[in-house]
Amino acid sequence: MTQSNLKESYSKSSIIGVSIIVLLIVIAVFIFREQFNFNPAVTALSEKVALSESNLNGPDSSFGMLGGSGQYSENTDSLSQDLKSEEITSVIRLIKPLVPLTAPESFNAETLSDKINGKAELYLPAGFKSLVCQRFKISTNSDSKKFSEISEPSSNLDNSSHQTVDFSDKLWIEVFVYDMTLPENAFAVFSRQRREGSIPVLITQYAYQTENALFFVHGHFYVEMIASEPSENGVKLMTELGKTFIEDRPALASKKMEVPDLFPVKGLDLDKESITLISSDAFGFDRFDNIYTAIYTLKGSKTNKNDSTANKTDINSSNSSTTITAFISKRDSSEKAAKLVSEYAEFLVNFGGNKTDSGIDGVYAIEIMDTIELIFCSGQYIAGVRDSESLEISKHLVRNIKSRLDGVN
Amino acid sequence: MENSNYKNITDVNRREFLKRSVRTGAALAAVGAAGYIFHDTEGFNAEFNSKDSNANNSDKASLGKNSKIWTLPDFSIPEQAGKIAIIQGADRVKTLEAALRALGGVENFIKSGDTVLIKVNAAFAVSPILSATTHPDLLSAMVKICYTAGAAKVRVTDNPINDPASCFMLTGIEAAARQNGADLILPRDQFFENLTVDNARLIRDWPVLKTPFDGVTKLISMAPVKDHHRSGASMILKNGYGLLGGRRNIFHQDIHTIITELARMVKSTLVILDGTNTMMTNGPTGGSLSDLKPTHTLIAGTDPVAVDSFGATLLGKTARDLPHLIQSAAAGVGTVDYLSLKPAMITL
Repeated sequence: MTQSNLKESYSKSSIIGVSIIVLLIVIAVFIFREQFNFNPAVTALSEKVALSESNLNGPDSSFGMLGGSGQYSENTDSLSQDLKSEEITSVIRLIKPLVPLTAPESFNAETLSDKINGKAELYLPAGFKSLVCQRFKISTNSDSKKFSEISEPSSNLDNSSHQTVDFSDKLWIEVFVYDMTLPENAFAVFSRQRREGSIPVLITQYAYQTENALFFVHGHFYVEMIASEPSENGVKLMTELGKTFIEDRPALASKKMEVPDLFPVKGLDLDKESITLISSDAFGFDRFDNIYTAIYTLKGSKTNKNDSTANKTDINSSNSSTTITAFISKRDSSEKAAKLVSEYAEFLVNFGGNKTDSGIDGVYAIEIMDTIELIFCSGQYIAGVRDSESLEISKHLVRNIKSRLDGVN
Repeated sequence: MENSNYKNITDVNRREFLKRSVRTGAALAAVGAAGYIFHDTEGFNAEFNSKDSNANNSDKASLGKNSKIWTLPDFSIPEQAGKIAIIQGADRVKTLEAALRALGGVENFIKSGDTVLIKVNAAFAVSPILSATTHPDLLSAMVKICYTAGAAKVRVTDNPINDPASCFMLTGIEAAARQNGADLILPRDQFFENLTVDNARLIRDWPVLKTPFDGVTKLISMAPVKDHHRSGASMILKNGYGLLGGRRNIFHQDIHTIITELARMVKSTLVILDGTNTMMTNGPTGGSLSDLKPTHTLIAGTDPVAVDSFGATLLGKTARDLPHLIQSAAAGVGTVDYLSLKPAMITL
């Protein structure tokens, strides 16, 4: 082997050696970094274990059975923080004759599905921060004793001697307080789950009750109260509980949403109860977030979709009616609003829509799947109507919406 | 200096070769030893197993500490395959009895001396009126029927999402089981062992509720018909989710695949799907009675895919709306064409 060959061989060896060392260092750094990047499933479990043990170690808390004289969380902004204290035995200021049935529970984004399973997917994209919940019952000494007796699970398969108490036919109420970070987020989950045929309750702007439950939005909180059986007494207790929750947080009452009031009232289904806030991916368009929708039932013919010469008076004189979805969203700037409207129009065209003349300046009209969509922007707002079978009725509603938005701008 | 280095490369004698080999071997041994020392043989289970064993914590329990792999037995009866009965009526006990008669009698499924395990849906600690869990009236009737048929022992179990003790009590399932002589088995640490489903992508070495199956000869799955925000529906196939331990919510990201794998894993003797009050909206928890629709139907059978396919119609859906039904059928678990099984259809 010549001197030059030896030198070349030595250089190659050095390069290969250094490369291997660098590679090993990169692998070591990667592994080191991964040590701090656990699977969320594991970290969530760790937190739950810690919380569970905290509850188990609390005073008089075999299976979380607490007395009725304990304290409630006075932190009106974030209930979940206060639950770390063992002194907190109620997530809400109680009214007689209710007492805690179980200890408060707290869940974060990683553990929410431990409480509500698949429905967590509704809350998580909508800005969910935390959930605290707790069950309450009407105070009777005998129930307390029986409930605690049943709490400890058997240690083996032979548990025939275990005393059984049927609690399924007694009135108890579970309170869920979701901290959704912003009032808009709370309204989003409230509106997406609104029950048909529910009865409005005048404790907040957005509240309703059903036979066995009360649902409302207060500031950034979305609150559910669910009774174990339908009864007048249960509804009365839940309403009173709801009032105390609101009274204890007066500052949140002023945090009202602006957009819902921008929908024209005439023709709006059930006044404002049809208004819904879609947090993300509205109408299948991934850039449509925070879109308020409202259902309108308007009189007019459904057959004049392509008849731009139709007389406007037909809209009000016709006996038939049609249902249309209107939508409004406020964006960061007028430029972004204009850009988003243009992108949505293109999105519809890409899905088989055909642009047509709306007859209104600045309003896109797109026929898609035998329906008409009209979309436009006004300052920071984007708005439109969809699912309409009538161009004239759509134009009538768009003019009304546009007029209100132009007034705001 | 350079010449010296070249000499090191080229003039390696036997002694030098051995010295270098020993040094290399020592380095490799040191790396291996370091890896062995830092290797965590128990993984994350160690953290939880070291805690107080009396803690009432299903997650701790569900992780399991045993990596032994086992297989869930096949509890189906070949000669009863492909049977389905659809009974309309508002009384759960009567529709259940009618369904079993239509399937040829409970004797076709439960024999004298059988140990029967009833896998209920006790997922949430809620009132039975919400129809989010197996109804206690239906469970009571089924337990009684099993004993009447000669069952030696009936067990009831589930690994709920919420705290197990409160789930079983507040749903009325505990009372229904115990008052009729069934053993209620709450999930505990030692009841889980790791299981792998053949050719599965998700259920691999995963903790599954095992001990309640010890000595069991027949398996009955009982679940309500519910809307489900993620999977579209929660019925019999989804009921298998309650046998899983660990952080099973991670499977929600691939919900149809996990349900299909559960369908392949759990082979019941009989399935009972309760569509007396169907949860049409806001599932799987519901919460309001207005989420329910009185559909007054109970479906029983031996083909869980067929049973769920009919159950989907109560939700206003078809099997095509629920990919896990199509996938389960493709995997050979059953058929979505329930009419091909010539179901017994009875109105009470």
